[in-house]
Amino acid sequence: MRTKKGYTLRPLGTEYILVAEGLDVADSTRMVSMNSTAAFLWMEVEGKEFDTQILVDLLMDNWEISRETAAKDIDVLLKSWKKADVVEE
Amino acid sequence: MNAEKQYFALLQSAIWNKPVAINDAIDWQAVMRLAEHHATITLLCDVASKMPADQQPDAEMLDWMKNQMRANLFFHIRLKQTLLQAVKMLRDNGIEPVLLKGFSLAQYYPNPNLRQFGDIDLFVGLEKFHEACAVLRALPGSYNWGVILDSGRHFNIEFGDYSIEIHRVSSEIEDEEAYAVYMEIERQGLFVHSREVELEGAKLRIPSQEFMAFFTFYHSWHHFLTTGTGWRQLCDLALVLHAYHGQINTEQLRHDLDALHLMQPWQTFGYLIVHQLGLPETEMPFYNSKTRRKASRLYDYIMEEGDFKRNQRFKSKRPKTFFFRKLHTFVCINIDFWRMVWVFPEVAFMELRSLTRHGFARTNNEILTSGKKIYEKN
Repeated sequence: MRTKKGYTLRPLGTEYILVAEGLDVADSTRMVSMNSTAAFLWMEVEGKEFDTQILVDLLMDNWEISRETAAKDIDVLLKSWKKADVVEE
Repeated sequence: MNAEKQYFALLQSAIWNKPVAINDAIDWQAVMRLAEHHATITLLCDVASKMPADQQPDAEMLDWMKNQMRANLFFHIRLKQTLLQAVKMLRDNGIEPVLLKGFSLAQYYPNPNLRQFGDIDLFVGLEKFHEACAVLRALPGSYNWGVILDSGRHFNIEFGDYSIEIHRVSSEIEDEEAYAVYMEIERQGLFVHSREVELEGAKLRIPSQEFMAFFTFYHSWHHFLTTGTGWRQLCDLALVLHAYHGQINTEQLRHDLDALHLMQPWQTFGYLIVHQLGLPETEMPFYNSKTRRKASRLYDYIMEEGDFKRNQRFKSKRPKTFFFRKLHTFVCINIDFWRMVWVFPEVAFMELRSLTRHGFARTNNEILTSGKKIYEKN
């Protein structure tokens, strides 16, 4: 899968907001709030092909976390990204 | 540390991106009232959200702060989209606008999304003004426009809660001698030495460094004389001077300030920028510690007035009938004059002379036109 074009990640306080600001994005009111971990993962895979495994590895490489927990967290994260329609297969 | 000192400690933390130097409990209600008064809410919200839990406001206020920042970001994005559309349309028609004020100033902040502003200011100059207005009327979403023929410095295109102001001159000056001087400063800063820079992924033209410093000050000075200046505007000047430290042609700046008799106000504002906002003395051109007493009076003035607040107070009490409206204006001018004498006596008398000359001419014109403004609409 890939991140969709036209989105920019902006820091705001302790959170990160993914905003649709490209002129080619139809719904410019869309905003997705992310914590710093999700924002880190987004920045790592933005504009590239990626899958669940890549995200799990990124999480394990940068945080002390078991594969099982990482897989569970990535599953939740990907569901939220798909629901927000910011990634495409 | 009282609320005022806490406000400045938090503001300094926001604009210089440094840790907050407050050990006591923060009076968030009082601090946020000041932030609102000076259009710096989102800057302080950002600082508050990053502070240790024991110094943060309560959960309810933190949520409110988060929403303030999100709303500002959302507004910023909408303005950016309109700006990019407007610049593209103008360029397609051979007009190169120069970005003024809010959007260009936001870029000097550690996080540009946190600088509050209300509209987009594009300078096109006298020659291209009418052509630019005609082009931008076709912008999607615009619903209202108009220009006051006599004294309007800009053409306004509204989009609901924000607008694009297309400027034919960057500032309105009634005094003929000062106008001629200003026009040359403007020509140098906005035509001869304007620069193309990349702002948020787009190539946009902005003023020269000298004009950016001069105009940021001049604009807040103009607000000081008319609608009220807030600390947001002084933060802008501090950050512009910091960004261009060592790059500004100070001889040119000195010439411009002297030509408009503005050196003393510049130094007085400068004293506050150094001592309240934390700009290093070495980065403040023509810093003069002897303006301390004057600066202390200016400080009181700014704390009371706030960003645009004098204008709001003036308008909210303005009577409807012509005679009482003029009387109200006369009383307000007198109050302003006597307060101004206390801070800048020379300027107060110059302003009074200008207001007397031009104010009567304006009133006379309003009587002749039955108080109707002349709008161009075609």
